[in-house]
Amino acid sequence: MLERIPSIRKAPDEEYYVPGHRTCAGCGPALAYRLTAKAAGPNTIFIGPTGCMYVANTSYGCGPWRVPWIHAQITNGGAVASGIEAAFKVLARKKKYQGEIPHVIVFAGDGGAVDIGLQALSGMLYRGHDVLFICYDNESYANTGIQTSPTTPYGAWTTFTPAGPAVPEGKKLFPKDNPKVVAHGHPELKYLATASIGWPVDLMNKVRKGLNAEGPAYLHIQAPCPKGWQFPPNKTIEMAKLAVQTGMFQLYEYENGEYKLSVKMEERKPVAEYLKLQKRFAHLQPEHIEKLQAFVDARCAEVGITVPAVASAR
Amino acid sequence: MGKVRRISGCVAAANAVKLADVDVICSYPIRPYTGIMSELARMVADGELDAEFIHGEGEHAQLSVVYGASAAGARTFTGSSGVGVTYAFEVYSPISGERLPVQMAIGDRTLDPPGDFGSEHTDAECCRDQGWIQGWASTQQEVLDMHLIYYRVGEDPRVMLPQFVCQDGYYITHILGEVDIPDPSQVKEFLPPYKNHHVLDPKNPMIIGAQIEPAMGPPLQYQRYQAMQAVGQVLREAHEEFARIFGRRYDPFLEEYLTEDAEVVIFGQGAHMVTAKAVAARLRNLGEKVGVVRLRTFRPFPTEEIRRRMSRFKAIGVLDNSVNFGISCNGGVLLSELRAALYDFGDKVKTVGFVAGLGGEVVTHDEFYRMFRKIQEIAKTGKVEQTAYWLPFEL
Amino acid sequence: MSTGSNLFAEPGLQQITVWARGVVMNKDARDIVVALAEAAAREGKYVQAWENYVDLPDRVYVPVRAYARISTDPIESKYIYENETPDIIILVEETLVKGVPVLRGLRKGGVLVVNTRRSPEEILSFLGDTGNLETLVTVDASSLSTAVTTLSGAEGATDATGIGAGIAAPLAGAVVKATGIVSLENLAAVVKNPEAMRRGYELARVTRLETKGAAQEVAVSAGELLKQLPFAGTVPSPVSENEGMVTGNWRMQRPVLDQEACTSCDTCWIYCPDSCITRTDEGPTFNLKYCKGCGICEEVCPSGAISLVPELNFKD
Repeated sequence: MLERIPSIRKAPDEEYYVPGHRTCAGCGPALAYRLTAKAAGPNTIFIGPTGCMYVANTSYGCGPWRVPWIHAQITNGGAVASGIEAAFKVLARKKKYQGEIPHVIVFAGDGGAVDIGLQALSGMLYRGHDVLFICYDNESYANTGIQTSPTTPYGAWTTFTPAGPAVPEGKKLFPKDNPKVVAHGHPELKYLATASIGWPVDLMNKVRKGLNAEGPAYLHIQAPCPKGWQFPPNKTIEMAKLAVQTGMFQLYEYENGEYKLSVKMEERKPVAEYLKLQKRFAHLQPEHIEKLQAFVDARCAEVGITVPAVASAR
Repeated sequence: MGKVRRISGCVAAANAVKLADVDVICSYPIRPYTGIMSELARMVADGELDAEFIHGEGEHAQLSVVYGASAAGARTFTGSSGVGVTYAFEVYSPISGERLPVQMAIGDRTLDPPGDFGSEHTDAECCRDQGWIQGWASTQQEVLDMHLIYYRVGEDPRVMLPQFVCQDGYYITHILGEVDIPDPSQVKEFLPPYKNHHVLDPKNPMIIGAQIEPAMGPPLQYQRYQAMQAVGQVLREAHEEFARIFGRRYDPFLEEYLTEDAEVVIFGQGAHMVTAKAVAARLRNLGEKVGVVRLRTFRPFPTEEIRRRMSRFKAIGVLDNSVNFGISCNGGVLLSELRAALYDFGDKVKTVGFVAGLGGEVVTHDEFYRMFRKIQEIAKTGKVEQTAYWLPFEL
Repeated sequence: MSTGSNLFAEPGLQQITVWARGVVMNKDARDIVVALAEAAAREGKYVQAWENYVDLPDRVYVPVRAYARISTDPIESKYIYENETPDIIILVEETLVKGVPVLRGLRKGGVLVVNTRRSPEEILSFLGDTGNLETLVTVDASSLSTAVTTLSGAEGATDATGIGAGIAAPLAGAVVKATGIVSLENLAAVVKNPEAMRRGYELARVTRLETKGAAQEVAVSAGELLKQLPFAGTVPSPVSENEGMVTGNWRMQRPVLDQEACTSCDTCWIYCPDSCITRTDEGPTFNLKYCKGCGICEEVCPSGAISLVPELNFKD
């Protein structure tokens, strides 16, 4: 059993995601990886479906993990993990493997978890493999140069949803809510949560809870992307915090059919305060922002965030 | 010695998997290979085989599951047919590229359209250049034996490559044949335990499948090329050992039938060659010098063996049970590759292609008879008027 | 059976390599090569301009390269995808002189243009052995224009924002002053900000140096390449750092700690995406071999104990 981490001060020193990777300066997903590896510890195997966290981390034939890591296609992280988990189970049973069964973690981007990789994720959860599947959500296909994914917010500019006179809002669709897709149709699922790099201790504890659960777990981590969202790289943490404080991203655990909010919120900031700091939203008109605010209000209500959005005093 | 039973090719394959003490199996249903998995599921349910039997959510998942399991040190098995084989296409190269000796059974089936359960080699032949060892059995016995031999060859440290063991859908997968099921102790002697070069193990952590820069591309591909080049010799050794332990001897590359003084032969692979052999025997009764050469190993294509052993014939007819629209000479892959292999012999050996049995239709005795007559005519006149014939329309 | 290099020589060809920082300046790098190539095309030259594929996808602050070729004759080396022996090298950002092998392959008599407000002597002090370099040009392009950050135009697509609105214009102007590779008029006709381009031309400071000559690099043999490659490219996991990807030369600003102000709260430590901070009894220490200079530590520090200082203020 991995123990609960009470505070930043008490978080383990050991790094299993070491310096030396080609991720962006200020990369949110890289921080998510580091915190996940730190929480999981040495007896861990990572599966890395294609995406930024594959390509940027392993550029030029090397990688930053102190624990075993294997590439998966962007399509099949869940299936590859299923095979690895099953192999350790049977090899231990047949006495072909001695030693503790390792934690198996898939670290997939939103493409590899929510879009082209969803089938493999769902299959893995359905079959009950003891795997922690993490989606690091940077809200676009970032590795290929920022194209829309199903989790790209309404109104965001990407190279596949550029804003123009005919399409003034850029992306017209609202994002797919993968935690909810996962939560409501997989009877073997043992743990589900969302996390943010803005709340590192909470994130690490959710990783540990997911690993402690005997069976499949899903963790959806929002991880801001300075390149794709177009903000300065030192603002990554601020962006993560604002996403939660505006309700653009909701932090919760889902257990026994109930949403348990992870952060107490006295009030919500309007989404406009979040949008204005990111160039991907620079083209939005007031009516677009209104539409997005209404969508966020509804989603917050769904998980039990009832405080209204109030503009902060200037 | 084992015991002889009358079983289908599906059940023969399942018995081989059981004898190989496979650890992880991943299934998905599609006719006609499905029976292999049903039989394995039964074996697991009855406690005859201790393996993880995973229901993949599709063929792509099947291949992905065994990719992971093999990298974790498990001996693995999967299989498919037709469009299932092509649906999984993305994962074939990663498996051979990471040098994971996964084994896959193919029960051949046409690709859609039309919706047709019948056999064609098109499905597995689509995957012919993905770095997998590939061969076709022609009997239920050979199915079982080939599965065992391929595990040994694929897992050999000089090779470390995945394998397709192919059998014609329905003909072999469903029709019963006499199969000598070997004793587990024989298999234990023949097939050493699976040991991967780079297994996923937290005690000895590795990074498998990192992105590379272009300069690392040529050496990485050359490594895989060298592994495929090594297969021939390892196959020879494995067949020797197999004959010694099991008492059944196969030529690793080419089965020759009535070829000793043959002037013309039909060349092909799989179940239909059984019929070809029967027709050749009847023609021999008439005093015709005809024979059959059956290809057993399609990948790596045994170029040297073919050059050494087949340049002596006056004319060779090549049966392709596949569609290859727009291919050179209008035949199929086998015709193209045989012609390429024999290129240096020029006019000395005439070749002609036949495309037959599409959609799983029977290649009849009469069709083989007409093929032999056409090849004899070419041998006699020295003239090839048409590079390939689609049966039954053109011949 | 290799041929002598002379067989494929293209005497009328000039290679231009631009170095910049990923995402925040790669558009300006691309603009410089496109502007110079377009201007040269107006003069009837054979041209090509492109980004280095190996540097893509670009990451924030990673050193990236863009290339141009300008030739009096048809370009035969069109698909040699890197400029192996550049004649002109341009640095869109000054810190690239530190720890990035920007002069690699430079041809005899080569030119280096640096966007900096620092003196040529200071820039030279970071370059070390300047080898074939003959001309150093310094120009404070950033004071004349602002870098344009856009994702438009990446991956071979059309750049909807146009060419040469940012710091590319004054830098291209500086190139013209030192080399005359194209005429000022033709360059002015293709950039969006010709005024900044002309100012760059005027303010560029040209320093002539003594060419020292550079040692020829020996290429790794094919057999050696094959021997070096581990089985299936599989490598052992690193233990404390991944030396295959040293990222300290991405950094334009270095974090510096004010120990008095530090409360050892570990906030900077927990938020570093590059695992580059170690907590000690005296507060955090920074791993400068890998620190990319993202500035998160300074931003999250609740007591203002960390400041960011330009990297070229340090000699180490």
